[in-house]
Amino acid sequence: MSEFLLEIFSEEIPAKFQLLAKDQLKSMVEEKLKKLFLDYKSVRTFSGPRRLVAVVQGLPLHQSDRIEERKGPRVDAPLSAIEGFFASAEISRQECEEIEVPGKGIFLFAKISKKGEKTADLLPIVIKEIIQEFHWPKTMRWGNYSMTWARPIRNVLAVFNGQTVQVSLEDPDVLTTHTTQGHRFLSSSTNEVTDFLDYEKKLEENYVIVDGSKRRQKIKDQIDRILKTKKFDLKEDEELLDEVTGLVEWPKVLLGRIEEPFMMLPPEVLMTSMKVHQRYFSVLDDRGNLAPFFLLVSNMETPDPSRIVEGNERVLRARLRDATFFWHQDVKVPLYKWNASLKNRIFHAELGSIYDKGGRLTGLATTLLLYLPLAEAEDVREAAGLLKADLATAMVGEFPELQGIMGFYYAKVQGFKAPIAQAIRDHYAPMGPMDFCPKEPLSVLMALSDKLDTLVGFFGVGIFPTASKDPYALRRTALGIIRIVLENKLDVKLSDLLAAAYAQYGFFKREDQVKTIQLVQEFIQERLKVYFKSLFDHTLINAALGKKWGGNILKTHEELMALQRFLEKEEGQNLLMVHKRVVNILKQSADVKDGKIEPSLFEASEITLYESLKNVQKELVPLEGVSIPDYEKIFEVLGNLFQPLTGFFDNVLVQVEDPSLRLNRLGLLNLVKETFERSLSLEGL
Amino acid sequence: MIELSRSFQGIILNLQNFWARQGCAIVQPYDMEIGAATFHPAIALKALGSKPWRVAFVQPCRRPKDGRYGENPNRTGYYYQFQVLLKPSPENVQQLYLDSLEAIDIDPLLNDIRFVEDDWEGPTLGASGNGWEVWCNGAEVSQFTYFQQMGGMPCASVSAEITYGLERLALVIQREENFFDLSWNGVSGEGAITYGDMFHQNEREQSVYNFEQADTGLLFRQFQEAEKECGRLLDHNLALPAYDYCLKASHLFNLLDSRGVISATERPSYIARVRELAKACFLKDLNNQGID
Repeated sequence: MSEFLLEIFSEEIPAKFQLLAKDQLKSMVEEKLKKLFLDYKSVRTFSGPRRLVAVVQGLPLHQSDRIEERKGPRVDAPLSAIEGFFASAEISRQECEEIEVPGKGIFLFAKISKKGEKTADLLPIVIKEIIQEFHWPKTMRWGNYSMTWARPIRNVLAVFNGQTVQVSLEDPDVLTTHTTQGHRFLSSSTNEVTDFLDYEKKLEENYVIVDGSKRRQKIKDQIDRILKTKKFDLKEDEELLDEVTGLVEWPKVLLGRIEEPFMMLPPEVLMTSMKVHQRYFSVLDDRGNLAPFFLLVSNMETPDPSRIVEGNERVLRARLRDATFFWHQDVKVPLYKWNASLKNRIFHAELGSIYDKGGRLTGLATTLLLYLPLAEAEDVREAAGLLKADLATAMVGEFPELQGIMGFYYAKVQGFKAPIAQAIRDHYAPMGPMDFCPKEPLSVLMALSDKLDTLVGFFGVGIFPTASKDPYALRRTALGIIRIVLENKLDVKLSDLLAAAYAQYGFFKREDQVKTIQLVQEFIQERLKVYFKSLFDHTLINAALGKKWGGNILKTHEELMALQRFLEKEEGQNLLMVHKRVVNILKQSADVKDGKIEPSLFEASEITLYESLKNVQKELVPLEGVSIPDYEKIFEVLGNLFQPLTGFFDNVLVQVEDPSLRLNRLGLLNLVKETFERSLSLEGL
Repeated sequence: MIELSRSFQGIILNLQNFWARQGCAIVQPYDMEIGAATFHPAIALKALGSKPWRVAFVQPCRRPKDGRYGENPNRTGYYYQFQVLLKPSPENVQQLYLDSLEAIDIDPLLNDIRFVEDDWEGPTLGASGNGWEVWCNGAEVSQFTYFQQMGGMPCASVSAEITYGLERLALVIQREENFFDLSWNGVSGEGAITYGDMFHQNEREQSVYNFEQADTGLLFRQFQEAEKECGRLLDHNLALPAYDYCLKASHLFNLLDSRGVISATERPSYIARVRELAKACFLKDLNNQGID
């Protein structure tokens, strides 16, 4: 058993492509080997800034011998066709079998035994196909070649069983070798390689860690070591860690200092500037506040790294001086004054400017107070009028990801009430399933308004997400609404909220309102089903979110919670069973819907059931008088029907000859069903 | 004081010498206002077609919107690029670039030099390419691009374009923090000339012009006239004079943009208008040279 090692060596590949490339290379190598009937024990792949590596263990020296079956012409085909087949398959008539293909006739089949080829002769095909077929998210050409890759390929190392696999690529003009280069600066030698162990070792001696997961770990370890001495914590950032792992072959983490005067800037500004521009990690002190340090991951080992640290500190100073300039410039301007320049900023071509959106939000949030009296109208107007203002500030111009956050700080400095500043900061949230969800009443109102306006607007002009495309993140917007409603226990009907949002779009047609609102509600209903998936059994979800959904997210959630809890108990299961029995009997008797009930025809168990029913119904009335009923109590009350129903089924036969008796009993059961389903979605369970 | 070779002019001279030795024609800056050295006809008009081409030159660039009244230490509306174009891109082009850094006193063994993905797009030229920004100890000192398209057309032969941000590079080399403190001539004492001596007043006055005083009515008229004249010259098969008018239109657009009189909605359409001019000039030039 032998090993095959492939390294495609190129100029620096974008960090964000590297992880996927590693996975793709693995599946490609596996697929190519299978296609060539080459067994193997394992395929491992690695990626980094300059190399894409595959190592296959346990390859045979030869393909195994095998028999290939080839279908020829029909036995009654013209002689020339049959002889042609013999010639092309290099066999005689005796070596052919006649096999009947159902419905098509009898055909000649040749069984050709194939001698296994040398693996070393097959690997060039694998290499060529991989290089030709590899898919990068974005490619380029170089020199006068027509082939494309993420960045120019400069060498291909291909070694099988200690020998170079000879392949010459004509375009680009690259000949495979058994050598590789080490670190761009720290190594100048060309290294001959015999196998993967040798390769990994020699590269490590030449300042390259091939395995990305080892590089990643090394960065983490170095960070830990540095921070331990300072008693600081890392501001964890997996995304950044992945990126810097793809930017270095020989990571050296260094600690730099943020100068004191810059620490007056909001921590988000410092962190964003460091991450976005410089790929630095932030550091937290023992109270979780931003510490005046940063971590940079260099790709260099020098006797005196202070020069590298100084250089980075100098760059950061320049960046932060810029940010300080923006801060001082922005903070002088009363926040609301920025609104005027939002007229030039498009929300969406068909939905007007951000300024227009701001206007709608003021109207919408004020209307929502009717359903959600969460704040003073004056505060609502003030907050809504400031929500988007920071988009025009210099700081958000520089760092779009600080939208909302800068508004928060500027509002605070300019003396707006704390809830107003928070509402500005939080109204974009939640941005996903794990993101922070607003809790403060004013923030909740603003966050909800912002999302309702977006959904209704896009649906209003006929822009819906498709299975593959959702450029305006409308799914995320719908999820935001769901989370805000549930996490703040807002007892509202969606149709009310959506109608309020629709009314703000002055140019929407009145006659389209019902249709649009219905579409948005159905969309949210679908997202709600997805959201509930991880919480409840799917049959429960389907029952509760059936066709006739009322549009109260919280109510549906409470009902599902109670149902789930109730069905975990034995009495719940029992009750569900008798309900099902009732439903089945009614289903079989198509002729009865709600016939009149004649108590004089009742037998003893029927009377008991009828009396219990009347009691239960009486008890249910006050429970149902509220928007979100006490489902626990309802189950308890319905539980009183179990004994009478069991008695009924034990003693009474429904399907009797006498039609008046039969109809009377069916009518009674129908009443039972209605009582069950008055406030519970049990259908389909 | 700093040695002559590390002065601002020393860096330019050393880069010119280095690239001259690599067979580059050292040309002079283009004598018009342009926003980036890529607009120089020796780059933009030579990137298409398959004729091998190597040039290098220093180019003052104007980006009115980047003006900061001379108050920002690292951002100015008028600055210098050193530009290199190698067509077709040679196999060892990255190494050549690194060697050029050594020629201006940046030792790769003492610094942390990195190639960080940064694909480039020049929307007014219909140009794009793949490449990197080159970091030296976290400072972006160069842009490295393999041109893929120019004027919306694929480049038959791919050029490597290297753009050195001379002020940023000089900050690293001279270990300074402010453009205006950079030594221009490497002389200390009475004869010292700094970058600030050369350009600080210019930054202040040009910023006032760019942001406050530029006569927008006049600029709008000039834009339209430049656009019209470019078209007229193309009708007479004069690709190069037409391209000059395209450059004028581009700069006039930049001035209007920095005055804030072009709304977000109109902006793409102005960019598209300049791009159409550029494309037409490129096509005409290829035709005139008999290249399809």
